[in-house]
Amino acid sequence: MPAWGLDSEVHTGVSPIELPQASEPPLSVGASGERGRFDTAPARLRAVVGRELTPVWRLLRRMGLSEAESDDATQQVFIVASRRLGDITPGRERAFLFSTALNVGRRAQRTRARRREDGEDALVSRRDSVPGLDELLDQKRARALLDELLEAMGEELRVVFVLYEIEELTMAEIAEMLDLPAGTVASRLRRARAEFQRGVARLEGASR
Amino acid sequence: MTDPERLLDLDRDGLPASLIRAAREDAPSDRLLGETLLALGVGATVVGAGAATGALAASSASALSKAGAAPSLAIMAAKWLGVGALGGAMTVSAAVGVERAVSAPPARPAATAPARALVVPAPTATSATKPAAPEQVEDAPKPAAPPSVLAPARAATAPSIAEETAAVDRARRELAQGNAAAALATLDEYDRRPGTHRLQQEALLLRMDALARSGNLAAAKTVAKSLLAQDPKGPHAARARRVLGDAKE
Repeated sequence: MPAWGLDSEVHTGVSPIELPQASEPPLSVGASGERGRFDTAPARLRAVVGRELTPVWRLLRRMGLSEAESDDATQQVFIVASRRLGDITPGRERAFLFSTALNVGRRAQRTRARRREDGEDALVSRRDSVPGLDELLDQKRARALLDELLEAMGEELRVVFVLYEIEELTMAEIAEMLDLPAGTVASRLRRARAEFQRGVARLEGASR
Repeated sequence: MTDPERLLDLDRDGLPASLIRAAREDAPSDRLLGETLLALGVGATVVGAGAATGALAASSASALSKAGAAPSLAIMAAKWLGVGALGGAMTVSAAVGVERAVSAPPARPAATAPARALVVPAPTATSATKPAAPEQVEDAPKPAAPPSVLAPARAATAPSIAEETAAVDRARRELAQGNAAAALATLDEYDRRPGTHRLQQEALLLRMDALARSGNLAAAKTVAKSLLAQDPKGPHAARARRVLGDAKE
């Protein structure tokens, strides 16, 4: 089942700490161009990590990974990127990183599912406990609610929703990244938003 | 293909907007950037306490990477030897520099050394003579120095109350903007100044909040305990207790 709408290459059987073999994601979506800005690959890599670490981590979190899982998966994504840096068009790193993150995240979810089957569920908690001042708690609660709604959506709707509403990619960028027809992306976004709104309405109803 | 208006823009005050906004503001701990750079072998430099072990972590991860060892080993080396495992005793300054100079994203540049500044708030000779200028890894872009609240030329002199106020205000502002790492850096700078720190309690409170916000619960608890120890009936005691209480899960 092409849950994330990506290509068919799926990597299984490795724990989140192990190195994924990334598929070939499209390279045409990216952040601001910086061609020629860095003289060396290490400098470019540092810059890319500095700029993209948070968006990549955030995407992994919204895919349902715990904070610890997201940390590991984020590092895997950048390890892949470091090996493929020469192949990535400068200024288009984000597309590569997001596509890789979707693959890595998907595999991490499978690993978790296997652990669950093996009775190791207690080792993995999607919602880590975090400190909390009031506003922090509010944010944590909000994210927990959002994650519940996202989980209920199913993966193929969720990824489109997250990339569009949270990461603010355009639909054209999403279509290119996921290698989907534009109409499919539009349809998935429509359905995802409808499900999201239904979920929000349920939450609002329950709180009254 | 015309993109529909995003939900956040359709209704900025509703529950959907709140949920999406919370997701957009989500960010990893400060530690992750440094650990990732270490794992990639392009990362970290070390200042202050724990430098020897931190350097070991950096060189180990780097050496593993350069030697072509499995990156997972480099990651584990970074985790076991590096920033987080040592309780935040090192500063990954290259990461800070890169992120501030290149991207200035909304969030969290790098780890800082909060607990240490807490335990030894008075500056040492080392910290006074080596302020925020950790050595750079080779070919690292020179980090853009953040505008200093305390003028560099006067860094070795005791700050005036106005300078102290400016430093604390700046940290508060950075924290309010969601930039906990910048707030911590400002507070580190404040702590490094010699002389009496008249706003130390306020600085500790901000440090506690910044650490909590950045997910460094252990350090936030340490600061909370220090606040309570210094003034158990003070104006910040209730918040400190809440942090300690919230931490019990």
